Formats: sequence, structure tokens, C-alpha cells
Amino acid sequence: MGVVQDAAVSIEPRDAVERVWREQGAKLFRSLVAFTTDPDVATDAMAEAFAQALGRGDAVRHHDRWIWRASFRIAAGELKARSRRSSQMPELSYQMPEQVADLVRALASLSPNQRAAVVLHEYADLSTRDVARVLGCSQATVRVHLAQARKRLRPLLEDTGD
Amino acid sequence: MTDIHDHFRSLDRLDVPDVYARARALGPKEPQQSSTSLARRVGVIFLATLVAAAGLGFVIVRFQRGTTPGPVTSISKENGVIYFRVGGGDGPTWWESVAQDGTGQTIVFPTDAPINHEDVAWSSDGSRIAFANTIVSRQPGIYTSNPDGSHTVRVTDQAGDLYPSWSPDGTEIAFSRVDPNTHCEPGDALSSALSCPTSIYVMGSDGSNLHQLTSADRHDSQPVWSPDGSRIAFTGAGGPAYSRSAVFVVNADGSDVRQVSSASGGSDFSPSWSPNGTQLAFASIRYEDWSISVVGADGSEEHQLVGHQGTYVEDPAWSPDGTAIAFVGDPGLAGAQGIDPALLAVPSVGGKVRLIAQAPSYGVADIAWQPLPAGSSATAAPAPQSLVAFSAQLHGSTTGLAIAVMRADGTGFRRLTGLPADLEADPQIARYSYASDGSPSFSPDGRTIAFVRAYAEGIDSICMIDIDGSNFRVVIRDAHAGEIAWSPDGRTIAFYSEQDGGIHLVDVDGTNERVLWQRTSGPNQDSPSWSPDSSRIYYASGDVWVANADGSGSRVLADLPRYVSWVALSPDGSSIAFSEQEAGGTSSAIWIMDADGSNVRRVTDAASGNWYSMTWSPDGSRLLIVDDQGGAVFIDPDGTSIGRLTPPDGWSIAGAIAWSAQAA
Repeated sequence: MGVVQDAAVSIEPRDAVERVWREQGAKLFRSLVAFTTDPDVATDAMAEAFAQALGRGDAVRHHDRWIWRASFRIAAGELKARSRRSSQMPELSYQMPEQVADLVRALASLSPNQRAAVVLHEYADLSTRDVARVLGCSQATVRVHLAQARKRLRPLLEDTGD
Repeated sequence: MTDIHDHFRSLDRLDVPDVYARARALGPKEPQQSSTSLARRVGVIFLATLVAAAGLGFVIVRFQRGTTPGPVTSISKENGVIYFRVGGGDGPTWWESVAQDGTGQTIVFPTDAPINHEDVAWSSDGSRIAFANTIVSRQPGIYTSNPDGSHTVRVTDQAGDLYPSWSPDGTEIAFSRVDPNTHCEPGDALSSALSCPTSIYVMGSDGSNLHQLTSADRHDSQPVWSPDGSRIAFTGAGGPAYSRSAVFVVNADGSDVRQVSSASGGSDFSPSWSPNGTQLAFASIRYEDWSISVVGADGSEEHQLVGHQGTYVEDPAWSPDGTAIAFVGDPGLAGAQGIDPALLAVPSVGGKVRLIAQAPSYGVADIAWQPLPAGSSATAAPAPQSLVAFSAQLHGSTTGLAIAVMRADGTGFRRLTGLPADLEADPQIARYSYASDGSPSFSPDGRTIAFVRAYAEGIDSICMIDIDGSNFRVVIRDAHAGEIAWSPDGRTIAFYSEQDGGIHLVDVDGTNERVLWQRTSGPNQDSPSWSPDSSRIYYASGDVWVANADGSGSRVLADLPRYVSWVALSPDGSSIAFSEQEAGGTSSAIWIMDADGSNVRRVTDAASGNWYSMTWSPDGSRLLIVDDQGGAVFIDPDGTSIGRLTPPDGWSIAGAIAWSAQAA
């Protein structure tokens, strides 16, 4: 089931944005945490995307699709800026359930594109077509990212004791 | 074993904060208000605007003013190459070089370069670069080096020293430094420039005579020396929480600081002087949208050059000849596909945006345009060099292969195709949304490469391009061609035809296609190789075959108890190298025999590798054979491995290879 669906365009923009929050906010936030490996960055990016969606009103046609794309792009920008400070991903500094922390550490070994693709596909349950929409790339590119990500994740996650 | 999908289900156990309440507090925003610092805005808006108004198009604001803007061109310098950084984030990053027409795109500082390169700046004669090394653990500071990275000198030793800019006479360097006695952690170019208190410093280009130029009551960064050396433009952030920045100009002695850009409705940054010193180009975020603008050095005539809601543009660099402004931005501005920021240019008086270079999946970040002394380019015609050409694959790319060349010593890697210029030169690419280039073969003079461009299954063309990346042309459309070979007399191209599985010949102007020898049965005829006098063609068809170029006399040269998959005649015509192919399609050994079919000997171990295409060195002293590891191996004719040819990091050899007969 894909969560990136066309929102009804007949309702008020603010209501549409709020509905995206209600119905998809939790999934989006957790996806962003997995993508950024940092709840702070996830929160900032998501808040910024929702704020921009609220500000743009009618200029946004499909609020859910727009917010997902914007959140991931904003988060990617944050990661890019942050990486200029260091070539290493930061140590996890947040209390997370152990299994989540293991997953997030494994994800940190992937490239941003691989990470985004695998999170959106494996957790957000987006089809490769919808992942391509969110990431703004071709389905073929998504499939390559997914294959590379799974290949790398599999041994890392097996090492966590499952 | 737990499935990967199940691991992701653990994310459902994460608590979710009320992000929506925070979003409501943040916005919707009024245009003149900014609730967060610019540093944060820059971080979070980066790229978001790319998607914000997707499909809305863009507007180029042409400079059509009633007043005279002053001369904007200067011919005191010529345009050299443009260096640009690719990638970033927590992925790989490297620097490439490209000519302003999009040709000659090549990697100059690979991902594994020993020093990190940020904020590259050219000296005014184009002979040296300065740059910042921002990795704290790797001897950070300002460095200078030759353009190829040689003769590197570490000039400062502080993390957070950023944005070097040469004085026009090359004796001094201005840069920004985090002010001492602050608690800001240096190292992040963006945040330290815009939220840590930084000032402009000037020093000798050897690091001597360091002195502070601007005071600490603003956050000053991105200094750029004026072409006459009398002033320095910079980005200064001030006001509440340092949330706004503008372009300032200060005399080179530190006197007379003046704000020249208005920063109306937002912030201005990244100044770049016009070569005649009368104007400055700069980037802006105004009303939360990005733009490139120009303003007089006295603050007059400010006008927007490129920009529209939802379009990402940044980092303008005025061309040394004054005619254009290069910048980083959304490729859609130039009508190109893709979302990753590209290297673009616009006439300095406004006009159509054109694409110079792209870096799919990675994106272009910073740019620096090399100035050259006037008249220097007229003498820059390169002499032909002995080059190796091959199909190259960029790791992670799902677009087609590109033709690339490099010298046999591993230097000088340059991509000739797979560049934005291809779209304009070959309309078929847009039609099929795809192109993959392979099977290169050099012209006898070594100046041109013929190759096969595939657009879709069974749809391809034989094309040519000069080794400097110019003069692309299509020789035959719908050629159904596989491997090709240019005759030593320069008149004919032999190619494997997928139409009938035989060898076809065609004149180099694309006319007079004919069948060399009608294949009636048996294996396909492949990998043609010409005799030095262009009278005969050797090819693989299960065995090693030879035929006269007029189609007569086709015969098996050597009936071998093994399947031959590739044939390469030595340049002097005395020896034939061929690879042995196993039933599974893999090739496991290299063989050599005399040109008359005698003295057949295996020169590598029986299962020495999975070999593919091979070519002789121009002097016939060694073979270069593509392996399945992304590179190629040099071997002596006795089979001894004598080294490996590997493309730069990020690239692999992914198809047929050819070695120019032109001596180095």
C-alpha cells in the first residue's frame, strides 16, 4: 500500500495539510528518523515542510506528496550541510529502543539515496514508483538503490543477533 | 532469520513529537519575517525549493533598463576551465573540470584525494588555486596548490578558515576566520560563516603578515578581491540573531565598509566581481526564494538575473571575460532533465540559461572559473596524444555508458560523451530518453573516435567525436552495429552487424554500406580488426577468420579447438591475439598466434580471468585487456602481467577498449 496518494483538492489547504499530519505524520516522522538517523533533523525537516505547505496554500496541489518530498529534500539538505563539518555520521545521542538503534546504525552505513529508497520502500511501504516520485528520480534508479541498500543491510542486521 | 522488512517495523516503536504544532508556530510566514536564523534557513531550505513549485516553470528576468548599466564586459582575461565540486552530504564528493561549452569534463580531485577541497579559488593568472581543507582531523586550514593538486602548500592551520580569495597580483590571500574566544565549533562552512562570528583576514600568499581586515560586530565571510585589488567584497551578516546577510564592500586597507546589496526581504551572499570591477553578482534568498542578482559596486542598479519561486540557484561566478555568469542551479532552468543541482550559465546581461555540466545522482555544489591571460587560449591547441578509449560507467548511475579517454599511464581521464551537450547534439537521445555509448575505435590520426550509440534495444547509430569532446556527428542512423574498427587508411569502418550477424563495411561518410562476406550459417562474425595496409579484415566467428576488404577470399585462418571471442591484430600485422571463450560465455585465456595462423600459443593461464575486449599498444609491445573488475590489465606478449589501468574513483571500464595508434 502506498501512502503517497493524491489528496482531495476540494478541501481547504489548511485542512488538507492537517489531514496529512493526522494520517501520515507518524509514518513520515519515523521514516525521516530512519533516513537522517537523527530525530532532531527529522523534526526540523518535517516541521519546515509542514510550515511551507501551510504557507503555500493553493500553490500545492497534492499536499501529501508535496510534504513527503519536501521533508526528505529538506532533511537531505540538512545532512549535506552537516557533513561539511565532519565526514562521519554523528553518534546516536537519543534514547531509542535497542532494535531501532541497531537499524539506525545499519542505515547510517548507506548513502543518502540508498537510505531514502530503502526506508521509503521497506518502512513507508511505497512502491518503487512512489519512491521515485518522492526522491525525484527514475524507477530504475530506485531499484538500483534498493538492491545496493539491501545487499549492504542484510549482513549488518544479521549481526545484530536476529 | 529476520527479514529486512521486519527490522523496519521496529520503527513503529518510536515516539512521535507534535511536529505539526511546531509547524503551525513556524508558518505560514509573512514575507518580511524570519523566525529562524539564516544559517538554519539556508540549511533547511536547501533544495526544498526545488520541489516546492515543481512544474511551475521559471522566469528569466532580462536586463532591460532605461539607464545605462555601465560596461559589463572586459577582454582583459579569457575563460579557462570551470572547476566544480560534485556530491557532498555523507556521500562521496570530488572535483571536476569542464570547459564552458560543456566539453572536456574530467575529474581533477577524486574522492580519495589526500586533502579535502572546499571553496576553491583561482589566482588571477589561472596558475594556482587556493582552497580550504575543512576536515578537522586532516590538517585543516587554507592551502594553495597547482591546478592539478601538485605543489600543495598549507598556508594556515586553523579549522574554520574558509573562503580564500587571491589578490590580483597573487601576493595576498583574503579569507574568513572564526573570531577567537568564541564557543562556535568551527568546521562547518555554512554555519560558521553565517552564525559563528567570523571576520575577514588578509595574509601574504605564504601565510605571512596575517592581519584582521573587518571587525567582529558583524559575521563577515566569503571575501572576494576586486579585479583592481583596491577593494574586497564580502558577505556580512548582522541584525537580530544575525539572521540577515548582505553583500558589503571594503577598501583593501579595511576602511570604508559599505553595504551594496539591499537584502530586501531576505539575505544576499556569495558575491562575485565583474571583471571590470563595476558590478557584483550575488545569490539571494528573498521571500524564501533563491535568485541570482547583480548590483553595481556602489549599490546602484540592483536587479535580479535568474530566479523564481521554487527554483534553486546559488553560487554565481562571473566569467573571466565578463560575458557570462556561471551558477549552480536546477537543471530545469536550462530545459534539462534531472533534479540534482547542475552547473549552469546565463549571459551577464540576462538571457537564456544554458547547461554546462551535470552530475546525476550527486549534484554540483561549488564552482570556480579559471581566468587565463588574454591570448593564451589561442596557443592552447593540444598535440595529439596516445590515448586509450573505452566505455565508461559511473558507479551508481543507471543511465547509459559514456565514451571516455585516458592516457595509458592512468592520467588524464576525460569523459567525452554522456554529457549535457549530447542532448543538443543528438536529438535521438531526447526521443528515446536514453543513450549508451560503446565500441570506440580511433581514426588513424588519433584525433577522432568512432563509436556506437545505442538508444534502445536494436536502435543505434555509429557516431564520431573528436578527442577534445568537440565535433560530434552521426555517421549512420539505425546501423544495428556491434563492435567497430576504423581502417588504417582512414576510409572505411568495419562493424559487426546485428542485422545478419556478419561483418559490414561503410565509408566514413556513412555511405556505401556493404556486406563483407555473407554469413550463411555458423557463429556471428565479430570484433573486426584491420591489417595495417587496410587490405584485409580479421574477425572472430568461432575461429579466427580473415577476408579481403573487397569481400573476396574469406577463409578460416586457424581452425582452433576452442571458441574464439575476440580478435586483435598487432599494429605491425605480425601477430594475432585472441581470447578463448568458454561455453558459458566467459572468456578464460588469452592466446597469440602468428598472422599466418601458425605458432598458436596460450599466453595466460587457462582460467586466468574473465577477459573481454583487448587492444594492442601502438608499438605492439603489450596488450591491454578489459577484465571484469572495472579496469584493464597490461600483459606482455608472453603473458606476463605488467600492470593495471584503472579509471578514477567512481568510474569503471565497462566495455570495449581501443588504443590510439598515434605515438605519445
